[in-house]
Amino acid sequence: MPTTASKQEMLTRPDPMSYVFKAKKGLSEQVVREISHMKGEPSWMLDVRLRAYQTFLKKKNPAWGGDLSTIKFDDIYYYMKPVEKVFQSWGDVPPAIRTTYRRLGIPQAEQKYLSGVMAQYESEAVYHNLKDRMGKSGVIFEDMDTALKKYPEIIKKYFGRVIPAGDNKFAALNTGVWSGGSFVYVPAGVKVEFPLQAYFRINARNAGQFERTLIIAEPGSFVHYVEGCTAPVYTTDSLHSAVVEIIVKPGARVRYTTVQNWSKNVYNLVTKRSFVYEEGVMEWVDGNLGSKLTMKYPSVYLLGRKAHGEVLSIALAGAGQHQDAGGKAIHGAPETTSRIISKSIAKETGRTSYRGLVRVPRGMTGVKSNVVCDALLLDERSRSDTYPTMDIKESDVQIGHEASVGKIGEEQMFYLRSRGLSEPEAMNLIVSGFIEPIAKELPLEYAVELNRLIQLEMEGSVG
Amino acid sequence: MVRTKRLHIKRDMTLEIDMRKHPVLDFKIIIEPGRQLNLVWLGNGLKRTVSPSVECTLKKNARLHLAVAVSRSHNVSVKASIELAGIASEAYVSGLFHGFGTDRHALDVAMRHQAKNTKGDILIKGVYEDSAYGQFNGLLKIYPGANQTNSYFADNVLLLDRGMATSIPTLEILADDVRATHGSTTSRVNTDQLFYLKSRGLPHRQAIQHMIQGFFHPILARLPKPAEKLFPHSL
Repeated sequence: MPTTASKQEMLTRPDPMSYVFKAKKGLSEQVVREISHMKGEPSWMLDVRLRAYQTFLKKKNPAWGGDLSTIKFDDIYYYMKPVEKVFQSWGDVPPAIRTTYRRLGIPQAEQKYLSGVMAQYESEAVYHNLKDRMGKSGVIFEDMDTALKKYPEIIKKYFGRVIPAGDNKFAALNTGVWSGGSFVYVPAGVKVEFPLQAYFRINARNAGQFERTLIIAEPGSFVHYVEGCTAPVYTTDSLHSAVVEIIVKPGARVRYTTVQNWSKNVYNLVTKRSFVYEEGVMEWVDGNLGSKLTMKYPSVYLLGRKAHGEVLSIALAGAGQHQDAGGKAIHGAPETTSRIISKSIAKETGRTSYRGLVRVPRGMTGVKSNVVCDALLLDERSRSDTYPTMDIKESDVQIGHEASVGKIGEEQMFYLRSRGLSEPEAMNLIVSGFIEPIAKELPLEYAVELNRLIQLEMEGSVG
Repeated sequence: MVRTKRLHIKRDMTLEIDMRKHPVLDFKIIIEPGRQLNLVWLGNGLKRTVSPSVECTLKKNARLHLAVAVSRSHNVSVKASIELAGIASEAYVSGLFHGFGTDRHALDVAMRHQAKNTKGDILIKGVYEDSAYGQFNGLLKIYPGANQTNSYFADNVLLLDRGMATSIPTLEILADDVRATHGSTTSRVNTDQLFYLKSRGLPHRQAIQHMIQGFFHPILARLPKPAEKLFPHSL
């Protein structure tokens, strides 16, 4: 059995890949046109892209959050197409890619078990398998490029409606050069019993990944979408800037789970937002372990009476990492409720920040919101910040926020040591307990993976 | 015109400032080792804009209690920056705010823990009626090496009618052997409690009044003077 160290090395070794098409380095109107042309997109999409590109040029980097000054926008490949077409079966997938997935630890059995696996290798979906019954119930689960070809009218109706290109610089960038991502459409009343999964991976040097995901849950439906990310280590900085738009119609429920483990040189700047209508429920479960800098604040816009939004977030920042994560709840209707729980761990010069917003405009009576953020600091060089904002313009509300920062309790350590656990074992146990409230919300295989990743990260943090 | 007043605290003392007389007073204070300062700012029925500020540095074992009480005042913005520079220095901040009509109140507190074994405790209670608005910003910052530090921030806001509030309690922690917590709540009057009081025969306004008193009680206990003298309007 390989040791954990060599396993990690295997996970992070880049695989040589050939590309069918690779856009020039850097960004220009020409590159945007090329991307759209290569994909054979309708002209309205090209217009959307070009407008977004102009917006991107005009917008400034955000002045808050992490350090973005070292991103070189001209040193990034904005588009590459690894293989000619989307595969219909696992056997069609090139061996190099299959090897990569095996290293990522997707078991063979799981491939058979999972009904809809879509894997994004570089900037396109290369593997795509839909079960018949999903098709029969009218559920659509496609990569975004295929969806644009097959369902242009739905895409045109919803694309950029939740997150307009002008929202922020990175949303504009994504809208301009997006490639890949998932499109999920769940018809009214349909409950998808199994989680839909997609794996994302950046493989080429300086390969930007700009996936675009759109999920539409019609009234009374349910879907759980799972996105996992791992990426090999490279020496130059790369950029991941995704946009995820979710529309939860009346009475529907959507859960979106992400565990990102980008390599420690990736800028992970993601805009995630959902519109939730009457009695709808939106749940974001967000785990941030990798990347150099993550800035991600999944948001719920509660737009119908009794809509509910939840954000559960775990962040782990090791040496040189900055996890600037959090959540936003905008209560745009009466009697809406939200809950944000954030747990973060910082070690060895790592920095975790919680940045959040709860907004209740006037007239939104009966709103309830609760925000809890706990941070654990494992050594004296780590740092933890909390930047919450509560903006309340209505009196008939109940808003609570609590935060605490501290280190692992000496009594806890002493107790576990006295029961015969070694120091690293005791620390692992305490950290597992700390994140448990969120880990238990993950599908089993992800909870196991999360715990394993955290244990890997924790190695060497004692003594 | 902003007046800056420099103070060097070499003996224990209590300063009571009436904001009506000193609307834009700006303090720069150093508290010598082992000394204590109680600084009380009072603003009652202020018609014009007042924006006092204080920068205070505490040396070893020094103590500061900053109490700010504002009621029925049109536009008040208080800034306090407290540096716990000496080992085992302690600072307490107590804020009582009661806004009516179109009052605008803002309190900005920064508590910087630069030395070991320091303690910071901030408690703010605000009640906003009519269309009044309160804004409470708190920063707790713990510098590298400032271990065995305990820092606490709480702001509780009660909103009535069309009252509004913004809370931004910020933490920046760069040391690990610390305890830093904050809690913020914003809510309206508990209707069950209100119903109970009214069922005992209290008129509506008087019942509300009792509840506001109860809400303010923890902060009144921390204020140095008998509360009635400070807040004839609120109580």
